[in-house]
Amino acid sequence: MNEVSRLVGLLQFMAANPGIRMSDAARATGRSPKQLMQDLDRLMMCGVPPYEPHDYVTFRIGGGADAPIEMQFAKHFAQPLTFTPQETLALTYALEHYRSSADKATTAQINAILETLRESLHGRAREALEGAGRAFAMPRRTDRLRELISTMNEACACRRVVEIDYYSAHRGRLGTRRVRPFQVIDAGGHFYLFAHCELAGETRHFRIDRIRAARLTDATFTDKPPRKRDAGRLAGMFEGKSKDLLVVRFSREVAQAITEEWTGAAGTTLTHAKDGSVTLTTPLFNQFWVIGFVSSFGAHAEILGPTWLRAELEKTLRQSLKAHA
Amino acid sequence: MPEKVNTTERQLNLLAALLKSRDGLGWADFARMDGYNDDTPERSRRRRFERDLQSLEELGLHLQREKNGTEFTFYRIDRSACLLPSLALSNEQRLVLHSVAQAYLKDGGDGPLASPLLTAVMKLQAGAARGALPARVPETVMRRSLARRPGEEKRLEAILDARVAQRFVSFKYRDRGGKTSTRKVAPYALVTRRGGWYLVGHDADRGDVRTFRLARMAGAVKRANPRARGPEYMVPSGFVPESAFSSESFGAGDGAFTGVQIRFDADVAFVVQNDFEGIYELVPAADGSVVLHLPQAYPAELMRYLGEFPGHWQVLAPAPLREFVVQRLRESLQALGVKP
Repeated sequence: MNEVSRLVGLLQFMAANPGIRMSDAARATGRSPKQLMQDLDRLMMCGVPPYEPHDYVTFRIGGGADAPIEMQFAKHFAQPLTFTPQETLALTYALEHYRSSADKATTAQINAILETLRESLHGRAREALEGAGRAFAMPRRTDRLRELISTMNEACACRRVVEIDYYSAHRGRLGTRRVRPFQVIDAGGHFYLFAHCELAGETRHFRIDRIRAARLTDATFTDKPPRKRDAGRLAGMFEGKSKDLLVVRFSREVAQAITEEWTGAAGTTLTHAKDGSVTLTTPLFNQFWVIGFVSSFGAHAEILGPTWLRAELEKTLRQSLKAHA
Repeated sequence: MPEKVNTTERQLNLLAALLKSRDGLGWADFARMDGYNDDTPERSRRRRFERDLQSLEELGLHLQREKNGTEFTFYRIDRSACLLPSLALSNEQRLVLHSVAQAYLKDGGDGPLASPLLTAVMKLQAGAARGALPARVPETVMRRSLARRPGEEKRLEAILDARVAQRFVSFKYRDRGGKTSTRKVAPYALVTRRGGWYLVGHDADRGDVRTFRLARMAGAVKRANPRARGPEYMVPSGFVPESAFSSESFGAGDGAFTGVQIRFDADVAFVVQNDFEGIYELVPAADGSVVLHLPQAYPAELMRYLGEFPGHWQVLAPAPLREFVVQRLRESLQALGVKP
């Protein structure tokens, strides 16, 4: 981001929110308290002629992390500049992307916000907004999934224990469990509920499309989400430790597609052989996607490790062939 | 002797002076400011001043300039055009707006749009006193991601910037056959599908709208004509990205099977309903199973999905797809060194 834009944004925010606590200001402006202080120090050089003391922006701060901060001599910055086209596009994209999986009530609110932006903005911001609807295409989500996501968001916000009917790919069947939901996460095209599972006695990431039904109970909880390193068996998909190392060799025919898909992925290496084949080595956090992934390549992919996954793949392939007998 | 002032400080001071002055300022006023009052020739100081003004205009500043003969002599901010207007949002809408933004910015944010999104939100919060976005609201429980793949971020930023400015981009592109060529494209839209980003745009050399997968681009995306001024193209009126990019969940086009039908048994039927009800035709049966009808599908993309339901699915149609899938399953067994 442009340095001037970054500092002006902070100055306008601080000027319009006198007395805001340091921790709130740091969080709202995407900085650590230390970075906030450094940027505020930089803003103190901002002044206008005739450069008398009151012509320079300055700030006053109490003690401690929750000290209130008062900007002084910055009133002319209190009304923010209008959005740049990039900011308009980013805001519109976030609203439209969020709407693509929102329930009906939230969708209506987002439509109203977009309409207000269209009516209120002018200049290049408006031009960007009018074009923005055509600039992106959004994924399609079913109403059922939107309602499930909405229910889970509500449960997370109210800290209500939820009873879910969940299809576990690991167990291969549907079961009921009580969970304490912490967060809904959109990652890799799927939505997950990060929650403490009473059945497992630890945290899990539950794919929301595998929830058949969810019932909010009257029970509430006060637990906080565990620290990242304790975040559960599947947490490594987002952070944490992998359960194993997946090694797959792909033939020359599909090597390019694999290289495109996996280059740059975290913790992943691609080893190209002289015969044109490529071997993928990547942390394995959750084996269920691997079965579909590897079998979609047929003879062009071979799991080299771990050994237990080869056995699991064989079992799954036989089940699928039996269904087609 | 006047102090040397760095660019950031100079531009901040210039902005402060313009915002503070209601009636506008002349060059004589700016010439007294730090950064423009050194002992270099006036011409070079004035060029520096004009460059700084241009930078501020790129941040959204609208200036009214008055000319005296051939030179600009008076500068005033067009407040109605460059200040964020008060947005008439309800309290609930403000909270929704905040939740949406925070969902993408949580944990420091990621992806190509996080940075402009943060500054947009800060501007909305800066207007808190006028009934805009509250500066302090409850934590959001939703975490969304705009990022898809590592390495795509810089390309996305470059494409977005070019689309905003309506300027051609150029990049090296490796096609499906592995052949690399340099492409010059007018960016129309960005599409995220199946975990990756795609650019939809008009390919200048091929004279047609084409789709480019960002993962197949090599190196940086650059402006095709960096010295060009002003827009180089217009996105056709009424253009919708979906007209150029299939929205089918498992792809469409050459090599895709058509008229696909897959039966899922009762244990997993609800997952398919969660994923596709209202998007594709789903025909339930009395035993609780459901048949998913897909207009088109690439077999490899379909098999990735089906692999999540071991033993719970069966391809019913078309027959060549069924044969293809069975063959793939057998080949996978052979690759494991076991007999089908």
